[in-house]
Amino acid sequence: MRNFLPLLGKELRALFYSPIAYIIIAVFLLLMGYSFTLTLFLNKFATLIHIFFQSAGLLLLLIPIITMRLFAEERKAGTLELLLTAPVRESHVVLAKYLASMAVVLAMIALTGAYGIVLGMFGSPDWGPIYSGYVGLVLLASTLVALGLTISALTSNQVAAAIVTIGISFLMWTIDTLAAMMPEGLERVLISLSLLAHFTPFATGAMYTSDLGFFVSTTLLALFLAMRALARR
Amino acid sequence: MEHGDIELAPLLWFLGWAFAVGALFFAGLRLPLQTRFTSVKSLFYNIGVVAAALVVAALATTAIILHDIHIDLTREKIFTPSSQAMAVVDQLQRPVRLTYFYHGQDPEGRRIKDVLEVMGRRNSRLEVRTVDPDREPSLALSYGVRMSNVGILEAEGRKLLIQTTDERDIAIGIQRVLREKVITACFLEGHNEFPMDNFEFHTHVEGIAGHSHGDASSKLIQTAGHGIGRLRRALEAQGYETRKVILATSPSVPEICQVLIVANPRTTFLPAESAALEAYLQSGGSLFAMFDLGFVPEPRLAALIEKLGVRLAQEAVVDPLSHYSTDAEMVAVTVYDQNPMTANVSMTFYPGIRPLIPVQPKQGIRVAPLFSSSRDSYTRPVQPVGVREAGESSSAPRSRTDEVGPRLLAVAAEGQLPGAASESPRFRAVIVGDGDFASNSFLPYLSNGDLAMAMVRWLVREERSTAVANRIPVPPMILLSSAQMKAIFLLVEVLLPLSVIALGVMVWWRRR
Repeated sequence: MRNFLPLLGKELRALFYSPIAYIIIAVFLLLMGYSFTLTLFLNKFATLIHIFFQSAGLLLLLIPIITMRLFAEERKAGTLELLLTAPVRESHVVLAKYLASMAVVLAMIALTGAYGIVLGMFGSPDWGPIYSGYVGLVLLASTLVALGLTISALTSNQVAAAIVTIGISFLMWTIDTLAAMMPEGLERVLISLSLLAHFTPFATGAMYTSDLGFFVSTTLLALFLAMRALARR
Repeated sequence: MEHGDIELAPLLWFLGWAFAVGALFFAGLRLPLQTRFTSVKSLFYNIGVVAAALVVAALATTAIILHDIHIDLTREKIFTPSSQAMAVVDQLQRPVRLTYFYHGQDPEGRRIKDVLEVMGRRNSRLEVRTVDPDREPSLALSYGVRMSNVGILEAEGRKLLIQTTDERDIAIGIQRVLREKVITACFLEGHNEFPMDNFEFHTHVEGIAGHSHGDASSKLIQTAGHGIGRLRRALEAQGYETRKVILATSPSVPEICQVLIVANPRTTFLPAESAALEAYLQSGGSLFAMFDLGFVPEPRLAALIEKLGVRLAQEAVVDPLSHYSTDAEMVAVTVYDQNPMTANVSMTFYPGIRPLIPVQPKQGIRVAPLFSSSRDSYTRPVQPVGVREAGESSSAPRSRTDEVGPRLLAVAAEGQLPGAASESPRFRAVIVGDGDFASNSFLPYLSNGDLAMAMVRWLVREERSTAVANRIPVPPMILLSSAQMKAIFLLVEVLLPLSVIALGVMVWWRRR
C-alpha cells in the first residue's frame, strides 16, 4: 500500500491535470443533458431508463479514449520499462491505472445524478430502477475500463488501442443479436457474453446476481490479462 | 425470488462466490510474470496461465448463474411474476421452450418480454427466447409468425401458439402444452340450468321495484338472459374441452367427463338422472353442483347429497354484516376455511345463496367446509321452483330462521360412495348453495372467477395449477411549466457542462 498510493496519485494527476478528462466529461454531460431534457419535455416521464442506455452507448465510445493512453503512451515513450523496474509490483501499476481511469468515469456518471435530483424535485420517480441503473452503469464502465486497459497494455499505438477497444466493446455489446444465427449451444454462449443482455436488467430495475457476477468476473479477468500483458516488456 | 424475499442459501452462495473469485484473482496476481524458462516454455507457460484464467472466469460465471438471485427494484414490482406464476415455473419437470415475439416499440410487449425472461431464469427447464421480429425477421418467418406479441410454446413435440401480453396466458399455456391428456368439463343441461353457450352479460332480473339477483330470479323457470358461457370460455382458455350433457337422453354421464358442472338447475331431476349421477360419482367422477335458491332435489338426489354430508335448505341467507353493496342477501365472503381451492382467493360474493345444513356423511367420505356466512347472518324461507310446488316443499329441511349465526355455504367432499367398486378411484364433489356467482353476470367480479376456476381445477385434480395476476406499470409523469423547463435546461445543459469546462480551465491555469 505504501508504494501503491503514490502510484495512484501519479495516475490521478496524469488524468486530471490534462484537459482530456474535462473535455470528455463535458461532452458526455452535454450530450446526455440534451437527451435528458428533450425526453423529459416531450414524454414527461420521470424515468432515467433511456439515459442509462444512452450513457452506456456513449461510454462504449468515450472509455477507450480515456484508457488508450494508459500503457500505450508509456510503452511508446519508453517510461513503462522505467516504471516496471521501479520497486513496485506490476499488479499495483495495473490497479492504479484502473482506479484512476475509474475515477474519471465515476465523476462522469456521478454528475448525471443531477438528472435524478431534477426528477425528484419536480416529480415522484421510481427510485429503484434509478439506483440499479447507476449500479449497472458503474459495473459496465468497470468492465470497459479493464478491457481498455488490457488492450492498451498490448500495444504502443494509442489510436490502435482505442479502435480495437471500441470494436471489441461494441461486439460484446451487441453480440446477442448474432445468437439467433448460431447453433443452439453456441447461441447460449453468445447471449451470456453480451454486455447489453447483462446491462438491461440493471437499467430497468430488475437486478440479478448473475449479471453482477458477470461484470465482476470479466473485470477481474481483464485486469489479470492486463497484468499478464506486461510480461511482454 | 422476489424483492424482500431473498433466500439465505443463494445469498450465502453469492457471498462465497465473491470471496472465492477475489481469492483466485489475488492468487493469480502472485503468479510470476517472467520465468527462467526458455522462450518456448515461457510462451507455453503464459498461454497456459491465460487459458486457465479464461476457464476460471467461465466457470465462475456459470456457477453464479446456477444460483441466481433476482431483486425487483421497481415500485409496481413489474418484473416479479406472482408467486403462483413462479410456482408454475418451479413445478416444471419437463423442458419447455418458449419463443416470444415482442414488439420493441410496444411498452406492454417490452414488459412481458422482461417478465418472461425473469420466469426463464427461474428454472432451467423453461427455455425462454425473446425475439423482436423487426430485428430477427428470419426467425419469425421460420415459425410462420407474422405478428408481434406472440409466443410459441414447445414441449415434447407439441407446439402451442399464444397471442398475448398477459403473463397469465403464458403460464396457462405452459400448463396446456405439458398436459398429456385432454380434460373434458361437461355442463349438465335439461333442467333449465345456465346454458354454457350463453354469453349475455346482464342476467339479473329487472323489475318495477328495482333489480334483484336472488329470490326473485329464482322464481323464474325460464331465465333467458342467464348463462355460464364465460366460465366455459375460461375453462377453454385453460385448455379444457367442454361439452353439454343431457342426462334425460343418455343413460349415464359420459366417461369422457372429468368434471360434471351442474349450474343452477331449475326443475327437478328424474330419478334415473339422479341414479346416473350417483353411478358417475361411484366410478370416481367429479361433480361441481351449484344448487341455487328454490331448487328442489328429487328424493334420490337429496339422498345422494346427504351422503356427501349436506342437506339443501329452502331458505336464503341474509347477512347484515358481510354483504356486497347495500343488499344484505348478496352475501360477501372474505374468510375461508383452509383448502387448496380457497388458498389464494380474496373476496367473493353470492347474489342469493341458500344455506347447506351439515349432516353426517357416509363412511369413507371426507367432507370439508369451504366457507360460511358471517356470525350475524340469518335465513328467511324462499319459495321452491320447478315442478315441485310450495306444498310439496314443506318437508324440505329448514334451518332455524330466527337463529343468528354463520351458515355453511359451500362444501367439498371426497371419497368412495357406498356401492362403488373397491378399485374405483375416489370421487370429488363441490356443492355451493348458489349458481349466480359463477354466471356471466358475476364471474368476472372480485374473486368469483378465481374461486370457480379453483373449484374446477381441484375437481379435475389439477389444484396445483395456478393463475397469474397481471400488473401494469404506470410511469410517473412530470408536468412542467415553461419557466421550470427553462430552469432545468439551463442547469443540466448549460451550467453542468460549463462548470466542468471551467474546472478544467482552472486546473490548466494553475498548472500553467
